[in-house]
Amino acid sequence: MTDRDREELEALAAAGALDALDDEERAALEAARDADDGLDGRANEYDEVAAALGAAAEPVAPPPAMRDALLARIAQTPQVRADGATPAPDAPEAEAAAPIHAAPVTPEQPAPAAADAPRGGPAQERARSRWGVRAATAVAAVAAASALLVAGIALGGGFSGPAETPESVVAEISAAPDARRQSVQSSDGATATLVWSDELDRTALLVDELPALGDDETYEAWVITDAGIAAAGLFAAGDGVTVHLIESAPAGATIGVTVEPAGGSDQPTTEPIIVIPTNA
Amino acid sequence: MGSAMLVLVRPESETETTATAATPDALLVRVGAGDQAAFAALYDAMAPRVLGLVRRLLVDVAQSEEVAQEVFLEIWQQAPRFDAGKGSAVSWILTLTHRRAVDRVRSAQSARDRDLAAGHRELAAEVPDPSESVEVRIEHERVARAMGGLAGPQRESIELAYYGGLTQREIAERLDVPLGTVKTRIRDGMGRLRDALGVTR
Repeated sequence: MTDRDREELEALAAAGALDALDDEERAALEAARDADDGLDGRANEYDEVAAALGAAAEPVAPPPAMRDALLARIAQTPQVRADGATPAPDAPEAEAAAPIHAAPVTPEQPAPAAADAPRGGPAQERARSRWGVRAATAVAAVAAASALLVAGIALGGGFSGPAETPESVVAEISAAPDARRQSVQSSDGATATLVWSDELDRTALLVDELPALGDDETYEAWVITDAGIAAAGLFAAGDGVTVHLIESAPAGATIGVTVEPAGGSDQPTTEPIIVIPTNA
Repeated sequence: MGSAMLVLVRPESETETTATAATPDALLVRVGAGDQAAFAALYDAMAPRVLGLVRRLLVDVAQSEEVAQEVFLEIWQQAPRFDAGKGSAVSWILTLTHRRAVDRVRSAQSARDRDLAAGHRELAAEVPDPSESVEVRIEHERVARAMGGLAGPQRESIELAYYGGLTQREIAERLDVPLGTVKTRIRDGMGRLRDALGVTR
């Protein structure tokens, strides 16, 4: 390599650190860095210089809603693996501002505690074993959650006060040290994700692209434990992401969703479309 | 409803007390392992700097906030690839931030905004925010001093590139000088900054 070639590569690396290259030049720089450790080391130095320029920019305080929106969103977003493989398609950036929607049908309805659930009779035993089978299938079908899109739009969820919105609760859960999540495909092909924290005792169900129902039907959530099946609130499909907060889901409970007649049912009357175990 | 809020608030504030003591490097490694609480702490530590850098390139407030959100989503997604042996978390994040901001500057929809943003503001011309951290303040002055040590044309080209989001070719057109001249100014200027900032491996 001549000195002139070396100088040109250095100039390429210097401009590359400033993101001042066009696509063709950038590709040339990447190839040259891969092939030349000396150049790569020099380019790393220039990258550090550029980062120092970035660190000198005046900080700007972000709006508080951005934090909630991001924490809710990462709960739904898979990470790359360290080897660089991408486990699931990312959400299109154009949809980044899509609103999160929660549409509780009866927002003030208290969800009965699972401990108060009626002891199961024979019909409920059948129902439970049916759910058990479906739960196993659902676990096998766990797919990486598609990135659900959450923007900083406050929606009155009527969950426990005006200071909370469904997305702020999702954000709180997501930020908890013991936050966990589980995703399944619903029988309609929607991606359903449960996020929960046993420490906070809070659980939220997020469903991407849940089909809207007719006026005579409603979605109903259920908390299934050894004690039985307890109703956990009615909800309707939102535009985009539907969020339903579930109260009093004991550790290890299975969360299910059925389609019920408008007004809801005391016990599920149809096959569940979503079953998410929390002990998997 | 009051008790529900208490339940929500208490564990989070405990988390933040412990997490903010961690460095961005330690936090980013934890984020790479899927730690959402570490992500929250990293966001708190870095969001003002990320948004500040984006705002430096994009005048529009709403667009800047959108880009900053995209940056943090990408931080979450790409964190497993962060290699602490190759550089600091702050550099990794700001590099990613700058790339995203430049992409937005160059996208067609913001083309009409870019003349407004094109790097004409001098580093020292910005009024310091009294609430900014000592660390950022020191960094700001360190870089301002290093930039002050450059020849005027070198500094101009580097500012148009980094803070203006222009390519070398666009800088040559704007300044009406040969492309080779811009390349040389940037290479020499970056070399001097590297020495002045003590960036060597």
